[in-house]
Amino acid sequence: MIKLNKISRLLASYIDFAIVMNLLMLVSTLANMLETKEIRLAISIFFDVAIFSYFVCKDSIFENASIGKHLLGLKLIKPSSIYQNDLGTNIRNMISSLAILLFIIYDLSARSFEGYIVLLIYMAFNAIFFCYKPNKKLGDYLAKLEVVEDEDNTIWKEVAPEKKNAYITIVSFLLSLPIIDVLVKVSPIIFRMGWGFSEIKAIIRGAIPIAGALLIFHFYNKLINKFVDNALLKKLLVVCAASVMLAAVAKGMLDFSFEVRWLFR
Amino acid sequence: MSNIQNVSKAEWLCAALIDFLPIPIIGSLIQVVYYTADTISYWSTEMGSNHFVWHASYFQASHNLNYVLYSLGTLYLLLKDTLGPSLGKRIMGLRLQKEGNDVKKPLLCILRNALLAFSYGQFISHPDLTVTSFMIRNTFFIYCIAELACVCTTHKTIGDHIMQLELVRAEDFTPGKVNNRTYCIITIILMFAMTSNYFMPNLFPTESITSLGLEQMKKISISSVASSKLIQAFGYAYLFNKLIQPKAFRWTAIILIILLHLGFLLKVVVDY
Repeated sequence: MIKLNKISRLLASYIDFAIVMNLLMLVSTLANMLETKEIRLAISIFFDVAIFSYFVCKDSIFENASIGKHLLGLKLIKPSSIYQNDLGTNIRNMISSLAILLFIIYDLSARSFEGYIVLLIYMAFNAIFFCYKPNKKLGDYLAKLEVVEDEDNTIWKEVAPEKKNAYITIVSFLLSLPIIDVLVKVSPIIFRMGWGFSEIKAIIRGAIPIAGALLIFHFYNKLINKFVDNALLKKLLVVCAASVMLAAVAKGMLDFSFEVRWLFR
Repeated sequence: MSNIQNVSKAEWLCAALIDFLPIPIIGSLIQVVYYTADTISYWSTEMGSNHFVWHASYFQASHNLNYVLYSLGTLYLLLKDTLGPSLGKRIMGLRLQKEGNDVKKPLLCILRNALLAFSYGQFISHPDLTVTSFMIRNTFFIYCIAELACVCTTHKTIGDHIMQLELVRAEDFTPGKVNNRTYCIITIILMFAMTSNYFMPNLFPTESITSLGLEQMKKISISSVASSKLIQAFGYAYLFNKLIQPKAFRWTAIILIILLHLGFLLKVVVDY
């Protein structure tokens, strides 16, 4: 069995997800600018149905690969069956589509932040499963599917394997930055929405910016060590990244103090 | 003339960015000291009961410290080429020349850097949120764009033109140590450092929108948020274009990163 690059597998999912989320964000923002409520609602429903359909059928776009998988040179197979393009892929996608459906329901009732939380929980759950069953998401496991390298894919044919890894690492990192950025920014809003579990809420709200800052620094450090040869420049860049991240952590600690102060009184 | 043409725009930009690295480092370290002291004081003043009195006085002290340190930053930008090539030029293997000879007079270098240091000095001395301050602060960015346009078209900065200096490659420089990927990493770090929420309050008045009060929020100019998002989006798109070989993958990444930022930008604009 070909050993599959974990990052490319994750990035493939991320690309599929990001395409939809981007369009959703753009369309819902534009729709919110419209004054007629009915048109706004009609656009939202149409778009949400389109997204749901995309998520169910995404692996049929390039035979057995979604856009993300195709770009990364991967495809879905069912080892136990000779019929590769079957209902299994759609069943596999039903789980992620259900998370999206919940998101859509919240989105339609104008409580989109809860929708984001549902998605985050789904993603976290998937990530845990992905680590527990290497390279398999929950849907893959249930539908008995496997993601493998597509030997007929020509996109990466002329690229050296070590370069492919470098490209994928950089792209995954850069694409994750805006998400971390938004997560850090919206976390105070999310937790101001009157949910229960105040103690946990306070701790998470204080901890998200700190975790985000440390995660970004970890990525930067990796990137600098991997690509920068000049020793002086390497030190300078690490110091710069570290100082920015330290500032973020220090600010996070202050916010954290405000959030959890009443727990210690 | 051939030497001048050998110095690519990417090398020039990289050298300029490396020269600028100490500024975000100083800015961030000030923030570290400020926030850490604030946190310690918070926990040490009867569990926060007297914290706000202390916070106000400390804020003023830290504000003054900011001025001192940023003035040092301005001074550094003014004097950076006087003791031989600056840090960025050394790393990139470049040096300044006048009519084919190395620049020996420090005054020439000071005058060359004067415009940059002056506009930066103006920029950091107007940190409040008034319209006048904001206009002055934006002047710095207009200057930076003009400088960039000047380098792209004539291979010289505005200061180089005025003082009739030229940037050439040092003969003893070993090429290949700093490659295309390195340029990109430097740009990413700098872009992130400059547009980071924790450094930005010192550059743009864009302290995280959610952490400010309603009155302050009204004062925040949307253009600073928009410009930081646009800088990030087009910067990343530029990097992908330079870095990624397979066309299909490259263009998907570029479209995705631009859409991501435009979505956030649009959301901020609509919310505003």
